[in-house]
Amino acid sequence: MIAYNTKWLDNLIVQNEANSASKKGCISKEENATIQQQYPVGFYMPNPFVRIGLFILTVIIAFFSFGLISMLFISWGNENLGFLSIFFGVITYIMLEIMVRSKNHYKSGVDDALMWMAAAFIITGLNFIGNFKSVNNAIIVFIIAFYFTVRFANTIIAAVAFLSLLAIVFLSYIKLGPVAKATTPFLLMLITGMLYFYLKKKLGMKQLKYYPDCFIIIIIAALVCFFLEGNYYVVRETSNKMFNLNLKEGESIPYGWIFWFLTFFIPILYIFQGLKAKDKIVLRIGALLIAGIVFTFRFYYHVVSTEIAMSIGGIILIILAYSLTKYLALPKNGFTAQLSSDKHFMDSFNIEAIVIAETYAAPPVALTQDNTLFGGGSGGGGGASGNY
Amino acid sequence: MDTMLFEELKAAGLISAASLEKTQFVQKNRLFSLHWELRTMLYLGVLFLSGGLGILVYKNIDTIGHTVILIFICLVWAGGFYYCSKKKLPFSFLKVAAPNSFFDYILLLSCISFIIFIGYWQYQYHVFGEKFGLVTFIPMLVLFISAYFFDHLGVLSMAITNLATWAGIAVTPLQILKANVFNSESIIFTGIALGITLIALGYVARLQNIKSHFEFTYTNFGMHLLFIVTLSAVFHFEKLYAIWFVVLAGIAFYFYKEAIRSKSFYILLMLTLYGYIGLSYVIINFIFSTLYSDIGGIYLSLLYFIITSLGLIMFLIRMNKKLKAI
Repeated sequence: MIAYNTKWLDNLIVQNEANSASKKGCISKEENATIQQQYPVGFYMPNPFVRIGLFILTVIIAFFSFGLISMLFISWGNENLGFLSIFFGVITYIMLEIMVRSKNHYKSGVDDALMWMAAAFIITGLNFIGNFKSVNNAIIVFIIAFYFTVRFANTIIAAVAFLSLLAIVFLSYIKLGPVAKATTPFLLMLITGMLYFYLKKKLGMKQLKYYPDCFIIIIIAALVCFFLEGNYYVVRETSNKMFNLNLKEGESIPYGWIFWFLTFFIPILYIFQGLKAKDKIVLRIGALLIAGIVFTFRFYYHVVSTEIAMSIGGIILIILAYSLTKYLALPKNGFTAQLSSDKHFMDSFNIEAIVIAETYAAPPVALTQDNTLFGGGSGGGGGASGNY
Repeated sequence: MDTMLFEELKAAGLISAASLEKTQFVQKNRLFSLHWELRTMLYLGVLFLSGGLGILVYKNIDTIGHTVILIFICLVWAGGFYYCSKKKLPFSFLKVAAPNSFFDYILLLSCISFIIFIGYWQYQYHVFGEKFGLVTFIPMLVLFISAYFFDHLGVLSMAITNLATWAGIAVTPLQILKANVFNSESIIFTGIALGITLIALGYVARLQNIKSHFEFTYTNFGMHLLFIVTLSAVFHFEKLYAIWFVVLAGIAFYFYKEAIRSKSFYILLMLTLYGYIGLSYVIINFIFSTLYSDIGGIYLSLLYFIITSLGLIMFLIRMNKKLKAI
């Protein structure tokens, strides 16, 4: 099971809960301080920025060490290079276990990097040796990703495990013949849906309390995949490419209306469900997937030009946001437009200012003026601004 | 929050009965906040509408006529600025909150349309003639004034970007621009001057307590600019790269002190990464140009990366401890 010290993981949960309660003013600062003292955590957990730095540097070390070793054995040929890669991956994994067990690294950047490098070296090495089919590769990726998820509770590798599982189902099912091919989207949706509800039920279980973040990531991935598996664009283009349907432009796949229905229905269902169950994740994914509807529809039907669609959409969004904010000025049915003190996901970042600077970074003057006049010179200003 | 856990904490005597009750109350009466969802909607709406209208205007320019469009854009920013100055809370050198959640977006819309207005006006009617510096200078001035007057970090970022554009154009004589000669030395020196100016502005903001929450934006822009410009100087000046490396080291040292002062892990990471890129360039260059240009050089540089990365990991771990202790 999980590689980290479970006693400390338990204490970490208590510390986090106490911190959030203290922030909301439910418990006093002194109480919080005693709790932090009573539930000590011995992990090495550096600041997030230091974590990024440690991650990058560990990756550099792993890559260049592998480079150094493989230079010594370069004359051995490809197959042995595969063995070398696996060997190096195993060494990296042992290093990872040592760092976690005796150095108490926990999400420090070092353990993250070593985990990814171990997985990458082993998978690459296996592919060097055997010429695997895509199904087998998906199985290898799944086994390794699943093992690392259980052992290190890393969120991204949990998502990799989930996606490779879907890939295994997809790749092995389509081989079963034409009926299988036609029903692939429904099978995938069924499996994704079942996994979603299963994980949702398991989310609060005591035995799995160290994996809440992994569960949330997989739930997000499942929600998005469920939409994509029924999405008209995805189904049409994938079947066209993979099953050689040779569809002409404007031609629909058999029973295309089902997928059109699903494309429109699923995001709206998410939004309603998200509001009804007050589930932030489902609501946000649903809102994001509205963009998916728009792109899918506009890909096949050009009812209005892009700029008119943008203007109308913009007006609708502004009016909707404005009236909802006015409506929820005082909390209604448990909804509020005010910022709740409960920090959720990305709320804690000052994303807004960054996004504004990014989207409007291009100096408009350089665009509106004659380019030939400025030539390379405009690169002076433009180049400088691009650096941000 | 897990109420079971707090009951356990109560049983262990770590929290009082009142605290437990408060926790349970908050847990029961939790409001579902749509704050960020609505804000994102509004932001996307502003973005789509301004973008859509822009393209619409651009495509129908023959039928609408420039004057009409200019007047329309003028009305947008004038109306926006009017609204903002009516609604805004009294000015202060400290942080001033926005009066409502639409204020920030309307200000943003006004600022963007003002820039478009000036650029469009110049493009169509050449109001500023050949004085290209002025075309960027005026929006920059307006943006800086708006940022301080209305207290908006996003507008400040736009103003700084505009400042860079203005400096980039202003320092390069028009003649050279016309002859299409790209002079990177002058760009490098301008960049350094600009970077130092921005850091000085941030310093003044903090020291004089004039909108001291603007400091990070100034320092952040200034830091990236200085590092990138100095790095490109190290790459650009083939003979003098050692001198520029010393300059880079000096800048890194300044930000090292700055990171400790402001307890910023972000600055620490940036100086480490930028400094490492510079150091690696100089060392690898040295290995291949003066020591070995054969396979030995490759071995040596691989070893260099492994050893220095290990060293930097030690450095970061130590610094992490040091900054946390402050």
